Amino acid sequence: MVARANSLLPFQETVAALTSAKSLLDAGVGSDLQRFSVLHGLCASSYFAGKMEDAFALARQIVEFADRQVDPTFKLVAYRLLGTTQVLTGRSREALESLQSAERYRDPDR
Amino acid sequence: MLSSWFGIDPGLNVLYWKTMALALLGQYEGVAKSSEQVRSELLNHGNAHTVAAGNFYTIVWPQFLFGNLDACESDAVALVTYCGERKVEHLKRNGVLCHACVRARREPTDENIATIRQALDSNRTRDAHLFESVFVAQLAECLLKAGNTVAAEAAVREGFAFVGRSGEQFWLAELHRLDGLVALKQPQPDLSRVEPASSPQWRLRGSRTPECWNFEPRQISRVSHTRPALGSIPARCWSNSWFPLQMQSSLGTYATLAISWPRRFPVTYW
Repeated sequence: MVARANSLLPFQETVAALTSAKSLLDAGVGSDLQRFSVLHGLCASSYFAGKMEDAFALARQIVEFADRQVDPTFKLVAYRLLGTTQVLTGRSREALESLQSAERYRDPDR
Repeated sequence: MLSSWFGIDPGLNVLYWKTMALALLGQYEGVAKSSEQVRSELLNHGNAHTVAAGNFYTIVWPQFLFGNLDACESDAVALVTYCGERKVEHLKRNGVLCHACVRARREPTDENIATIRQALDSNRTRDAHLFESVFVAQLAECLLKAGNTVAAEAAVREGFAFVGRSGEQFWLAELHRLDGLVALKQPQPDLSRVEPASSPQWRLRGSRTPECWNFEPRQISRVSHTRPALGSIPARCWSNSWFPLQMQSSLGTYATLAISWPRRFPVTYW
């Protein structure tokens, strides 16, 4: 479902595919990584579609999820999403803090 | 590589958005440093989306936002070509829009302005609205340059409506600046729309929060430009109490950047 969403345009179809994937995850199917990937896709689709507050709310959910994980990649991506939505919603100072948090989890070799 | 899972290198993507946040905060030394880091890490990167995004967010987009039209025009063409060859569709569309806006700002002919509108409409049919507030503001500016005040005012209203609907607030200050310029074109200018500190909309929307310092030099310079004709903008616009210390420092950096821009922002990473 995520692979299909990544290849689709326009965004309405992407969001529909990701929403279907999230329904499956909410029903107990799939892994943490798949949940993270779907939430990531939904958040990115929301800000591309000009729904910044939805994207911001999703980014906060993703950060909560990532903070419970051990793998730093989750935190890297989660804080990047939060920073992005903060930039777009005009919260530049908070955005810089979030993006600096994300930067701490970077590994340029991965 | 994480690029294959997320479609883009997530580590570099952090640097792209950090560069944008720094630029919006007027921290231009940080922008130059961050761009240099991107440059060193992006050379020989194998992921097309990552390369295109690096060129867009740390080269074309800052040039576009802060008015380096010469560099932006050629780099936007290179971006569109690269994205077209590698099928990076949404960045290609952003490149097309940047290019159309730059062309129309240089030559605000009906044809060039119509190109912006067509590119915007094309994005909207795909429900792609990212950065629409910026592109609509550019459209309004070009219409003003063309002397079409009525259409410019409609575009500014369109921009405010989009910001209200979407929550994309980071370019709101620019819309207020354009609203002021539109007001000045009226036979009886409404000064509350012109003088930013006294505009209720400006205060309520928080456009003078510290996050928007970088816009204030532009706002001030444009008002200054029109002041002789108007003659009645309150003097507190120019006083230190209105003009915070950080802003004065930022203005110095802004002036320095304007002089040294071509050296500070590196060439593209193709």
